[in-house]
Amino acid sequence: MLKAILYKEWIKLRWAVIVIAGLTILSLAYSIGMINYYIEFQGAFQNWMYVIGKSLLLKNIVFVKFLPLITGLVFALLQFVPEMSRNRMRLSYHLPISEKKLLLSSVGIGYMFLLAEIIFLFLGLWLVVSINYPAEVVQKALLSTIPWFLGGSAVYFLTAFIILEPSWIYRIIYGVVSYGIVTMYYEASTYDQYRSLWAFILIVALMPLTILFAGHRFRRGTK
Amino acid sequence: MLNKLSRYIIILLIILVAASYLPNFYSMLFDKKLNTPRLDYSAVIDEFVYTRNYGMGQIDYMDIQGNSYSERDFFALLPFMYYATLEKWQQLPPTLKGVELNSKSIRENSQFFRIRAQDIEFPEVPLYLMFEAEPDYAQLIIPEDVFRIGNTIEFIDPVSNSVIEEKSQRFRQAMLDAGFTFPARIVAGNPTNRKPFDEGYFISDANNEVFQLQMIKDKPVCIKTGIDPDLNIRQIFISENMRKEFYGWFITWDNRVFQITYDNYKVRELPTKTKEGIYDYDADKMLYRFYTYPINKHIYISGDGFMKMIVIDNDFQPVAEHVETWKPYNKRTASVIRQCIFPFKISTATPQKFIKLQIEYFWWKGLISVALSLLALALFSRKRPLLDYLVVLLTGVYGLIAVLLIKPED
Repeated sequence: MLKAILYKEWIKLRWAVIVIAGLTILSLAYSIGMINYYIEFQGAFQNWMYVIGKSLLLKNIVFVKFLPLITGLVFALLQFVPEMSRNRMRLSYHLPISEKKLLLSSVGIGYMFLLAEIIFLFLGLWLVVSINYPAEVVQKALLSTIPWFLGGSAVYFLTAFIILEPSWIYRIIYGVVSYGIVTMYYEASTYDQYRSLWAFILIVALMPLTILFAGHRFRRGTK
Repeated sequence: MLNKLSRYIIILLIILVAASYLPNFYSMLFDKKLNTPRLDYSAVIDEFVYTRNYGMGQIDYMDIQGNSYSERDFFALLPFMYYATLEKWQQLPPTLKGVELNSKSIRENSQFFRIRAQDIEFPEVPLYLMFEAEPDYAQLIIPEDVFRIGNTIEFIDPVSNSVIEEKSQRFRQAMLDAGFTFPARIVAGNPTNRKPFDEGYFISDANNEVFQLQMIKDKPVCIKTGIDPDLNIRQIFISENMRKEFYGWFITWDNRVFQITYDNYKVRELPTKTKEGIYDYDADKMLYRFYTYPINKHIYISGDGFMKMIVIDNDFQPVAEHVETWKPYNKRTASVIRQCIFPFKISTATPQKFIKLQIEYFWWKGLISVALSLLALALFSRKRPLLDYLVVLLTGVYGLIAVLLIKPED
């Protein structure tokens, strides 16, 4: 049964996965170009001074901030909007699998693809930054991306949650709450500002469970 | 069962957002600015003076005896602060208590530093600049490489992004020869060329011994300073000054402040304790400022609700101390009401510019919020599961909002 769901979700997501992977490669290539441009025109040493002292690298890798966020949003929309239109979700509930398992598997599978994209981006970034900069800069740059990856994951789970919720009033409430939470992951102005990330990770880890309540409400037909 | 858990996680998220935004929203609407005095000490009348700015040009110039002054008279009381203006008004006397008073000599014999929470720990990339301490030119030259120091010292060339082995080895050897034990701990310097000269870096090693590392005529010079390793140093700050009285200053984990003097690196402790006790310097909560003047020295310790000033003479002997206080933030009306409405608040900002999830509890006034919320829940809603009451008990008004918004499904 799980294999069938995996295939179903893959069908929905496959083009998005490929497009995002392509965008990732393009963005990494673009940032290599940008970094080289800065180094050429500022001189290697001066460029390092800006990178170290003025967090210049955060501008060069700004796409890393937004790519996971957009990916999370797009995946959630592609996976769950078709389920909700014309009550298609009701059909899926007649399959030989519990409603909870169905929802959790769908979200789990979607997240696996998102995680794969994130890891791909992370490794690509690692490569790009280490070509031109020393270990200290690489470490700080990579640590700075972790809140953004968590933010993208949060966007995925919360978007799925909002889509699966049948009532528009509740959707608006969830939308406001989601905005409040996701902005917490994008507050940094310089490298590696987040300390004790465990709390932030725990919050995202709890998010997948919220969809069960929405799905339950949909199944019961409550508005 | 899982559905119930799911609902409570949604409630948790709502509480998280409410606790982060609502208290700040309330503060934004109701906080009022308090008028705080600015304290100083006049060597002319040997008394503390202060100003209070009421806005729209109305400023009180007073001394702590209660006498008030005109602006001109007040400036004349503080020649070491307002010498430029007084010279322009031709009101600067030639000497005061044997100390010459003219712009040049006052400027040359004055120095100032401060220690803020964000100066002690802050996000940084641990790569440093080693300046040539005796350059051929009239000013300091910015080097072409950076160095890292941890288990060893390495110079890196940005053009090739690789280690400069030869230079790194020379510095490594010089440090080991001076008795340095890797790994290094505190690395403190002044990485700018806009200073009169360069004293390199003061670095503490694995045994808490502090060394000075400089580059003189392209050669590494590492000297053991002999500063007591048991002082438990928290952070060192270096600032080169033409007066050459001290290399810099440092604070310890027990909130003591010392200067590192040019007299063979002997350290000199600065006043951090006050006669009231509660205004003793606490590096995480207060601001420390040290002003050196030709005639005396001023120390300011300031925090929420007070500004303490200690005056010492040029032999570092105490002359006087005084404190001005005002209502600290948590005792002001708007804040007190806020504490009654909200049982706690969640924030991510720290004074050190880090981002960390923090909860600040408003004990005991927050219990009022909890009690009212429980009452509201009982009145406005029928048949709630016990767990809902527990949530409101723990989180007060935030839980109330969350639990009322998200009705339980059976």
